[in-house]
Amino acid sequence: MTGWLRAHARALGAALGRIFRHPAASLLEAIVLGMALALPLGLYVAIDGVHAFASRHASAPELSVYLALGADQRAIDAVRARLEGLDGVDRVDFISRQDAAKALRKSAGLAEALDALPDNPLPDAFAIHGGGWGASRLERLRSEIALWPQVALVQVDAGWARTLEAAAKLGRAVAALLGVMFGLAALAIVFNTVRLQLLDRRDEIELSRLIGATPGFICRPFVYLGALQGLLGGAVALLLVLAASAWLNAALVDFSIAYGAHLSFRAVPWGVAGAILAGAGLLGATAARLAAGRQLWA
Amino acid sequence: MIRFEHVDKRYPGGIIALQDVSLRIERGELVVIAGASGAGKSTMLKLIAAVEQPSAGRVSVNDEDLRGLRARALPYLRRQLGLVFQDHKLLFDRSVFDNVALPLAIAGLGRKETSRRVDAALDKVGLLGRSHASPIALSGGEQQRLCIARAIVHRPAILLADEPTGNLDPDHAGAIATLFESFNRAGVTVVIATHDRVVIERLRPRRLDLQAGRLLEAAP
Ligand SMILES: Nc1ncnc2c1ncn2[C@@H]1O[C@H](COP(=O)(O)OP(=O)(O)OP(=O)(O)O)[C@@H](O)[C@H]1O
Ligand SMILES: [Mg+2]
Repeated sequence: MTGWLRAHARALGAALGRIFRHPAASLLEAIVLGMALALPLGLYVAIDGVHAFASRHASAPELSVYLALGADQRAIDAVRARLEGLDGVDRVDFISRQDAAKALRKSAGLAEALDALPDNPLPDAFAIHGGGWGASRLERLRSEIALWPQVALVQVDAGWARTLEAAAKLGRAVAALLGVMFGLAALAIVFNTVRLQLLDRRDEIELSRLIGATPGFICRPFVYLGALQGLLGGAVALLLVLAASAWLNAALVDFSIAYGAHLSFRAVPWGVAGAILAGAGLLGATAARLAAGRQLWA
Repeated sequence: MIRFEHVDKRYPGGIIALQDVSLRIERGELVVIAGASGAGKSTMLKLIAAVEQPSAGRVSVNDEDLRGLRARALPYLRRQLGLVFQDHKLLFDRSVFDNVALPLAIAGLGRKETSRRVDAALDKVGLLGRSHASPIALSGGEQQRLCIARAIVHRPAILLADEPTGNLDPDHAGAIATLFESFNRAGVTVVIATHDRVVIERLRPRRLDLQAGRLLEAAP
């Protein structure tokens, strides 16, 4: 074993020893840290769920154009050609009145009601997918198309989903900001614990310096201690968020059934979990290094 | 190897601890700094270990001017020294073994070599059986010997001992003096600050007499 490795192993051992010698205090600290980190992480997961939900619905057609009931094939072709000629249209799907009736029969259990009617009451329709029309542009298009011959009704769809999607984007920024704020709070927590540990050990530190310890040698166990505490805090945060989202998902089942829309919070992906742990560890180490530096190089 | 050139030491508050002290201590010498309480004995040792800086003049160790020593180099200078502190500086929340092992951990020694050397050092001061005890459980004399074990475990070239027989009866003081004599015979430069007659009579060292911060001519 090289001297370098040995020095680090020794420092890690000392830090682990300190944690195991004070299990209650270490656990308490991990919980406090975990809660500080769980808040932004939880918000992020919640927003991620909402965003996934919203973007699933936002990809639905942006405009639905319903034709007059008596529209013939020529009228249909004419409307299709005009729609396809519009600026910014990606795709135009035709939904015949027969297809619409079939779909309605299947999805909503309205078969009997439909059968009771003498005629198919549904019109032919077009679903228009466009690229990133803003709300005002959509509104202008809607009123323009509504004036075309053989067009009965134009609807702007999924507007709410797009609004929600935009709100989720804003929410993400808020979560990031909260992440920075609570990250700083976590930094302060570790900084303070390590500062107290340094005070507790000042005789040993003083002696070590007198007999030839480098600042690095003195600092290292504290940096490891901070890193370990950060890691523990990160783990607690992940567990808290996991537990909370499992609990909320159970409650959301009812919501999903009631609205036929599947909203749920996804588990934190492994990569993100790893990044959270690494980040928390790094945060702890940085806080400890700052605390030790302040004391040792003063 | 240790050199003072017209060294003054003035502490904050204006107390003059040393005044115009010049001396040379050669490699392998056994020297006692004698003098009444407050004469400046501890201050001299602190200057050699670069714990304090001279207010004027120059202190050098191994031909290295301590004033020019960079902060990075200081730990490595100190590892060549063995320090026995007047106030012991034992860690009471660690075992006897761990106290003695600290200089070896700082030097980066492995577990096996550490345990071998700690045992050898404890054996020299007669504490081998007490490895696992806490220093609190040791008598005053035993604590003093523990300090000595910690000071020699890393085989320093220079041993600086500040009142190593502080509150010991003459028999024990004599035993410790003999211990220092044996280190010196093994080639270690030994500098002891003391006013203990027993030590001086037993060792018959080169003697530096301090009086109120000034060095008197050496008396045999
Ligand atoms: N850190 C300090 N700050 C201010 N004055 C100090 C400091 N250290 C020592 N002194 C003063 O310097 C003088 C010399 O102190 P020093 O400790 O060198 O004496 P000493 O010879 O070792 O005494 P003793 O035998 O009591 O240990 C004393 O008057 C002491 O009060
Ligand atoms: Mg003294």
